[in-house]
Amino acid sequence: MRYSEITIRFCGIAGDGIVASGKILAGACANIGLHVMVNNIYSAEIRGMGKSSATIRFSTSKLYSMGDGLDLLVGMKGKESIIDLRDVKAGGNVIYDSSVIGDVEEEDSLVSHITPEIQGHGLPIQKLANEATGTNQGKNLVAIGAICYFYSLPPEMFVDQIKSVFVHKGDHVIDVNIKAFNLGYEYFKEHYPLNNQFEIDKSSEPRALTSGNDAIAKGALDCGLKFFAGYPITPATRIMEIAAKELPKLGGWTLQMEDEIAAIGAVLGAWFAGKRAMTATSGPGLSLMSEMINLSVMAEIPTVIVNVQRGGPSTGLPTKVEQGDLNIALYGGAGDSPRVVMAPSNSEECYSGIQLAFDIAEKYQTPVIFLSDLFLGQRTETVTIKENIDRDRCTRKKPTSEQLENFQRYQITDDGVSPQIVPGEPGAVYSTTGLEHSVTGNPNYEADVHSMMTAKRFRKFESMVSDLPEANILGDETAEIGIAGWGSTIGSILEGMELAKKQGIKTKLIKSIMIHPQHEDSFRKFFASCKKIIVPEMNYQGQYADLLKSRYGITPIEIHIPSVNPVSPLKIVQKIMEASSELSK
Amino acid sequence: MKHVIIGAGVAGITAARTIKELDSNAEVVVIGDELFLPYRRCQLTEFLCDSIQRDDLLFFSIKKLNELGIKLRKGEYVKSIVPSEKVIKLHHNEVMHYDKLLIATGGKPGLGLVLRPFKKHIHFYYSLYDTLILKEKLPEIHKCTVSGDGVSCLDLICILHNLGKKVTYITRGERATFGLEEDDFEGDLHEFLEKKGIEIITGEQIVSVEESNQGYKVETIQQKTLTTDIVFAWDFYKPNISFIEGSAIEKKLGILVNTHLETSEKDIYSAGDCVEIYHPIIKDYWINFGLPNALEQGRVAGMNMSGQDEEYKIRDTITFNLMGKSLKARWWK
Amino acid sequence: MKTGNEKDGAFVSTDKLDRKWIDVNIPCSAACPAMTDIPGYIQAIAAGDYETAYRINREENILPGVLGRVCDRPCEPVCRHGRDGLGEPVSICFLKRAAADYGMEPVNREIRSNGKTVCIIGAGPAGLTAANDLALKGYQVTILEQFDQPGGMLRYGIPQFRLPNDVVAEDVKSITDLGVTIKTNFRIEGVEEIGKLRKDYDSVIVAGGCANPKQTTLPGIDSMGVYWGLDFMIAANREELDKSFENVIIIGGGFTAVDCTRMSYRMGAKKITLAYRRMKKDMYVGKHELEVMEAEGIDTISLVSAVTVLSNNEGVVTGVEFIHNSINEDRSIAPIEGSEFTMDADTVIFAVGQEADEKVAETESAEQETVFFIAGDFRNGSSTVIEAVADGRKVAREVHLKLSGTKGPKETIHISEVNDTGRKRDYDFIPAQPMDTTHMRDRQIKNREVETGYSKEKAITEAKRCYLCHYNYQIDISRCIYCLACIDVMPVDCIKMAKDIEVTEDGNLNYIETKTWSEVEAITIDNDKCIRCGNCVRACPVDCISISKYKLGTEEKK
Repeated sequence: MRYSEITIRFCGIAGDGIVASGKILAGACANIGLHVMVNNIYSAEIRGMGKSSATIRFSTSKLYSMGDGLDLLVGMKGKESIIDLRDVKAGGNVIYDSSVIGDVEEEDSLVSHITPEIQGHGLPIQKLANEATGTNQGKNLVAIGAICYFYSLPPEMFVDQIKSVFVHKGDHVIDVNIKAFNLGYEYFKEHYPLNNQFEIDKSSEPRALTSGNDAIAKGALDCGLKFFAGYPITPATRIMEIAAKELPKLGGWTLQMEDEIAAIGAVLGAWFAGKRAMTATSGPGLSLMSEMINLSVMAEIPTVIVNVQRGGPSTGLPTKVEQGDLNIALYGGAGDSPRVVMAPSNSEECYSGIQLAFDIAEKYQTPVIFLSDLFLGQRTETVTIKENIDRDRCTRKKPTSEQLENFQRYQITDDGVSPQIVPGEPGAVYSTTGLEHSVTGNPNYEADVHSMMTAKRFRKFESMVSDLPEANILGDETAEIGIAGWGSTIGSILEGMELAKKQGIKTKLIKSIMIHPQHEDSFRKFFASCKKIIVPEMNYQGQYADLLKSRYGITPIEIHIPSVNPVSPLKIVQKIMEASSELSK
Repeated sequence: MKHVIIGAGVAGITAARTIKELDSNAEVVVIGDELFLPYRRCQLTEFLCDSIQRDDLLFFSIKKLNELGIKLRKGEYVKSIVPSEKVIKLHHNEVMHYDKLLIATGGKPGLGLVLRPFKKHIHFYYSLYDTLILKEKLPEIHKCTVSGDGVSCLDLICILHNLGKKVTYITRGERATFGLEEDDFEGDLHEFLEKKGIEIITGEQIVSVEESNQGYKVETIQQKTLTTDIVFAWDFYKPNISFIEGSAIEKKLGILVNTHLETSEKDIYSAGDCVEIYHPIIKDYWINFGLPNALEQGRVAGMNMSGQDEEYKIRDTITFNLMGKSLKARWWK
Repeated sequence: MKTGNEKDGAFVSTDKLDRKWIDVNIPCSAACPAMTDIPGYIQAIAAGDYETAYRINREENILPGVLGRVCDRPCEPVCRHGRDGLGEPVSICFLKRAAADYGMEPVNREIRSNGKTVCIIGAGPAGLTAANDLALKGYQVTILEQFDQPGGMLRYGIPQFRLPNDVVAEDVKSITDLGVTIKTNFRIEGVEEIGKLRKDYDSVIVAGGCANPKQTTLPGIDSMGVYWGLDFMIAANREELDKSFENVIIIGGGFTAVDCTRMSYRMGAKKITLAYRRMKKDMYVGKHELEVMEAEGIDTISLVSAVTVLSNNEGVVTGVEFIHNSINEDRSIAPIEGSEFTMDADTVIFAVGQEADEKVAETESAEQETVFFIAGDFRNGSSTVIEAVADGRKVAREVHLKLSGTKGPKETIHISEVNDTGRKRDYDFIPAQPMDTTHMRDRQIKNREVETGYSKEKAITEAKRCYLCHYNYQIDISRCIYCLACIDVMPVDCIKMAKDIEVTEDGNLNYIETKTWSEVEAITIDNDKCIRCGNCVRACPVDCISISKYKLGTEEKK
């Protein structure tokens, strides 16, 4: 069979080198210019217990999601992989370890569950790994060797990757790993000589690989992040790890605080002092930060909060994805407490988006909640990111010399943005407070002052729209079926639209990194041109749909996709088909 | 009642179907070592020369398997049988229990001591795999060297010749008989082939096959050297039953069965090309082969496994058409 | 722990549990009738020390050159390396040959005569072994041999293409160099002659072998061109056959029958068929021999019995009438009525077994007399060379016991601790090294040895494959921290979590396994499964796994 796109999943128990398999395969593919996306599922338990899996999808064309179904399942540990068989496409393949030690009962055997539509290939993974390295290490490379032959990929792409991944471990480790790879390759060549073809463009340039979390961290560092305070929480901890490693090199600091409230407090403090600062958390952390965000709103201190969404509520599902934090991001503050909410849909947008977040937060003196999610944050994908490094960037509205005399920190302006100075800057001093205040910042509870100040704070949100990117409309302009979505679901929507197009159904999508505020005219115009509107998102209530309904008065077809697993494009296509058939009646 | 059938060829699948038709609640598992759905081996040559498509080879589709409720496991081998525990062990150490077991693994070609070291340069012509590989190579090969016995060897030589290839056949004997009896063929087989343009070398034996820059170099025992694009060779064609070693199942070349297709071990049956049975008409042990036999033996075995009492009536010869002349064949040694 | 039981740093034990350990854990030695220290000599070859390897064999199985070629090798089927999933057994016999080919040296021993004399009838393997052992103990030994060269079956029964004459001669010379005298062309005809010898010698051992072919009676058996198997081989080996062989049928299923087929091939036969009345798996020869025959173009038919030998008017054989057999549930065979068929032949050979010379068989009853013994095939019926060697040794021991009044030998086990075995894990994946053989085109040269022996490099490579099962890996339970690192790296199911260990009467240790963590009392290495790869030792973080070497020794009882 000829392929231009393949999805492979490695399944095993923690300690089998599953995640490493994904890394090596993804790295090798990216190096030869293929587009790659990797999704890892980790067990919550420690080594030796609990299952982990790595799903790698690679293709000659750009990927937006994890697609549907597996072409190949590699079951390092048979029993744990049984449940993944249902994801293997008809005509797909399974590689199982035919050299397990000890007898296996029929019901525990992966092989006995393989149905005739799928081809099962035995590979003595453990035995060959033993032969190469003397112990069980190297099992993942034996499997990768077999995969390399199976899809007629060039072996050099893996050998080079092995050399670079293990460069710090010395020649011996590299040699035995290459040996493991070759043993797997030769075994398949001898036992399953009829292999498949995968087209490769030899002239492709290598692509960069990154994850959403990494892209956010890098984006922030590149646009002048100076201070990071946080508290570890899955799946955001990686951002803090990168900050801890890199910020000191750039003259900045990272502090691990005692909890999320302290973390956001420290961030506010840093911003108050005029430095770009950030924290990263997930649902439970964001909930704790509510009151400090209100302080940021009232005292008009910029703040940037990255929220990498996970299954909730409460401790919820720490290692599973969900898009459930939209409501709290938008409305989670007591009082009239507006904040900017952004949601990138891929790693490129994570990079450029966080930089925009800093600009907006600083310029409009507002909290910006940057909503990523576990899938986007942790998946690895090939990206084309043009670096934008400007570490001294500052978009703060500084006072004119006139404004400095009788400086009013909360001066009422047309656009709602008051000039701001930072402590230590010569010319003026001021105080700030979470109490309602007058233009000088002194507490004031008069009704007209409160109305004026609230109006000012809300006016900022109208003014900032001009600084915000326009919504994108993708697909067929003439389509009558329109789709609106956010976050990582966008990728699955795009692929679903492609599949629908192949069936002759036209669709269009409106997407924007901005959840609030939005370019409302664009949205209104879009919705007016649609006969059917579909809003898919990964939460139970339809939080984005609710926002669109109340804002634009539409009655969309809502898809409340169950969380945990990445959204399947087929699910989107199904709804599109339904909508289409209703239209043609 | 759990029926396990080793062998997903015509005999095994027919037995599976027979069992299911008699008792739809019986659990039936068929284990085949090839990664293909069950196909008709006798039509491989037609597929090779494109007179039929790949799908036409199919003997049993997935749909049919599901309809009947037969579980098929492809690409798996049996390592050993322990009749006393009614258990078989698969190649990946899976242990499977059975109530009734049928061995229908057919036969396959093999190499002896002399040629075994050259295995990777030698092709067989037996399974769908062999045929697919040969099909891929057909456009590039012109000269073929063949050494072996049996009707399938004859079949191969004829099809290669018909596809326009130059064929050289090497045999130990003084005439090319392919192990067939004199009166099985109308006329003299050796002469017939030579007249068609097939080169026959007698009294010879291949002793080595090496790669050379134009294909392969073949050396014979009398120190002749041939260059060729592809080498087909097998020293014997034996029932595929090495996994019964260590068990008490009696075999000669094939598994010995009675007319109910029962082996010497209780609840173990055998059917198809891997079976050897005493033929009272020709007064010899023999192995019957061919599609009609496999269907019949599969059916009989299935019936007996389901508790019916059915005897296998031994067939007479089958007649083939060989390039216009008729050829009778009953058995291979 | 230092005790008085130490010898060269090794702890010397006489505990039956330790003796049992050797039987269970060194399966090759245990299967060898002569209990040869197989890992010992293979370890020597791996280090390139062919002399030590030769010496071990020379001392323990006496005829390394001969056995290295024709031994029945009961050790190889039980070799741990041949177990399921681990590959092929070590080519132990080929390595013994390499030891003989490269390490042969004369026995250098000061022997003091004890003044006693022994006469051995028969210079076959049993007789030669008894002679060797007794000579080493100081006896004056004379062997009386009926043929004109010593060796017995080795020289006359086994063809040169399997065992060249000069190899036999070298092994014999190593024994005669000890002062043993061999008188050839000396045939003992009957009981009275043995009686006379008993007067002239302190002890007489009859090791006459089984040189008389078993005779069957079939119609036509007297036709011209019909041979008994052993007679055929002896005549062929003595170059006494001069007729032409075109179409040969051999009836039988043992080594002699197979040798006859291959000898016929070399005598120019074009069609050779071996007919056996039972099934191939019942034949005494193994799969490898059957494959070698097939390669030489020999056909084998099974479940057929000869009924009549057909001949022409001049009494010259023309063929054989056979009948097919069926096999019953109890594995007995019965002819199938009406299934007779005929095969043409110009030569028919019956190789259906050998038996001892009747005339001398009466001597059995005389065994009650002191210092008169029988040994080897003469006593036990036809068997293999190594069994004859073991029997010769046994009888020599009995003779020595009777004549010297000593209490006999006792077995000791020498146990010494080592830090590592000298083997690397990659050695376990070396494939079995095939024996170099004469090219097919030269096979018909009658006396050309077919197997030509390993080169030195190949022998060392093959020797590296041996797991060296005389090493015992044990976990010290008192120091084990139950981290399971050893179980993580085990190559086979050899390390168990045990909830109890029971010692059976015969010294076996039974590990009662458990998968439930709370029941685990000890982590233990199942020595039967252990392939001595050393992974566990390398992985153990507290170094609680010890390696000790076991060697069997003998001491005279005091």
